[in-house]
Amino acid sequence: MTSYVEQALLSAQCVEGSETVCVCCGGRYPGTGRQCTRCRAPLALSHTTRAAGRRPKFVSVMGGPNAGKTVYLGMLMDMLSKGVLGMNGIAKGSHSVEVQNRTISALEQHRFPEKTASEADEWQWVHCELIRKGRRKMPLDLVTADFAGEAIALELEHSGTFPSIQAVVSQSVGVLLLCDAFSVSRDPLNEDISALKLVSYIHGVKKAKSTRRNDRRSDVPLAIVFTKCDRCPEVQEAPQQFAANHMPRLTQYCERAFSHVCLFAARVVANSATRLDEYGRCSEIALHVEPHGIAEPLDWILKSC
Amino acid sequence: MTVSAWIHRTVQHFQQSFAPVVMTRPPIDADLPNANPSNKQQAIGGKYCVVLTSEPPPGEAALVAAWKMLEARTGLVPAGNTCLLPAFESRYSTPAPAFDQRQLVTVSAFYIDRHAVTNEQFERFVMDGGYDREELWPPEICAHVLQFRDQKGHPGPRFWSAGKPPIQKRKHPVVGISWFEANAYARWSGKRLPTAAEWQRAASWSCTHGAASEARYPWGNAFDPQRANTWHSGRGDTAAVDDYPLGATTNGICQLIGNTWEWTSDCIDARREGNSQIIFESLLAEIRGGAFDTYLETQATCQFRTGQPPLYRRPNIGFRCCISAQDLPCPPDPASLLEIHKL
Repeated sequence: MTSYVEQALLSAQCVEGSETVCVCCGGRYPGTGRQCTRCRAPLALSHTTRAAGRRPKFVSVMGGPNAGKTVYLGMLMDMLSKGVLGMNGIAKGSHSVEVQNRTISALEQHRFPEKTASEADEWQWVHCELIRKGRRKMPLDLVTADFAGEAIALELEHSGTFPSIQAVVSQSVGVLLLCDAFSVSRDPLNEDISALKLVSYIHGVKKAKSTRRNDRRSDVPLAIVFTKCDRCPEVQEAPQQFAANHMPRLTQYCERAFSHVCLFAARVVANSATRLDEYGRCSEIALHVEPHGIAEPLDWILKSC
Repeated sequence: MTVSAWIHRTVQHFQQSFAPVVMTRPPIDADLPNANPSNKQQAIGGKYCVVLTSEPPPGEAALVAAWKMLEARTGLVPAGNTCLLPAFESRYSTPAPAFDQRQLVTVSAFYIDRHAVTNEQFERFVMDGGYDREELWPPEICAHVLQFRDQKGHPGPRFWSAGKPPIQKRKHPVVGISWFEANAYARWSGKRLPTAAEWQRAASWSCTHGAASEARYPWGNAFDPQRANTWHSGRGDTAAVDDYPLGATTNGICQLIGNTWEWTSDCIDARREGNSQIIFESLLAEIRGGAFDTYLETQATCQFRTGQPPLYRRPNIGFRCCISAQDLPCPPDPASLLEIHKL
């Protein structure tokens, strides 16, 4: 794995002949292909990051199925495009607007976006040039992807099934781990174990890359974000307490395995309802949009890394 | 009985049996934004309440003064029609709601507060023992009234401390109050919460040429973050009730859009929509107008309808009161009112 990570770090600048090197995994794009043959990252992503001329900063958005990754990422990108917490984001390339577009269009119609497909070539990738207020530094190029929760779960069971997940986590300067607060409150044991598997995977991938092998702790900032807090208001008050009460295994593991961990509570809608159609199928309705705690985790990661 | 069913029954009982206005105490209006000293003196004299009581007026002069005070505090919304969209639908959503889903409602003339109820005003209700007065609360809710506490366990809004609002927010709208607390205050002050149709009419009547042409905002159809405190203003918190004067209606009703959502007296229940059914976890009390954290402009309009459970005490929901014009005694002779204005 180390070899392709090293390749990836150079890939933003590296083009050999007519073949572009994938910014995510270091793989090659075939002559007429629009996606990396190894990780399925779009060619446009590698082009925009290469054109920026800076080494991109990857941030992983991880979480199980139905954790709210698409809504969270879409809302975050939309807020960055308007400016939030002193951060202003400019999407680079039309592919970078897609997840934001899907999310906001759906919420305007009181729906949530469709579930992200499990096939890697259907995932949306984002490259965002981020300018931070009061920083004299150059803008930074943020890269992330909207992975399907089912694919993440499969990757945990069979590492290497989805090379892009491992590649993104490996390169990430920070990880956002999303947990559905409502599911955690209803089924804490299951959610605790699932989250534990995820952080264990993240820790394993990061340690494999780390040069300080003797240090058991990873220094990548890990933001644990409890989503859907509209359905679980007690999280909003005290996410640390909520995590300690409902997810003791995760809390203990993170304390031992990560140097920088912070807990956040987030919600996008203020309330939701259920639509039951004539065939008995249920779908959720978003009542009104009131984002809280969306940009704070990213702000913390960027300050910590 | 489930909690949802219990809340449903309690709200219905409240709406049916607590409608009559009973004046219990003069609302002293010395805190009136932009009030001039003479207005304050009249208010401290309690003359405003003369209009709201059913008792015989003490005299023509007192009645005129009270009317003047009432007009300073409230704005008259003339009778007329308003067009309610189905809840959670925006007039501008795609596809637009079908005409047969829209509901034309006729509204009688009423007076509505020019500003949302402030922390300072609500403090008088708390100091007057509003949380202990049984007549202001439906019996079914009494157990919950004991839980309507502030951060130090005193009766009061959720974000207060030791029965006092944050000192820097005395002129801000009171928030962290449930639908029941809003109703109790309204009863205590001799008024009531507006219905959803009344609220909408107050926000959009002055721009109308018939119900079909109701404007999206009190100032027109284009959103302007300078006129309302929403997410786009970047404030991230409530503002004083007299901020954003450019967002007022033409008859001077302020901040109907933005700052805080406002409880109305209506409730939203499960409903059918074509062949599908919309189900809520619990009954919702309707809220209107958007708040400081409302993200989508299409959801901070005069027409947008949404709700929250009536027991929720959110940091972005406040309220204002109103009173039907027909519940007031006859207004004084306009000429004598003019005399008072001259004085």
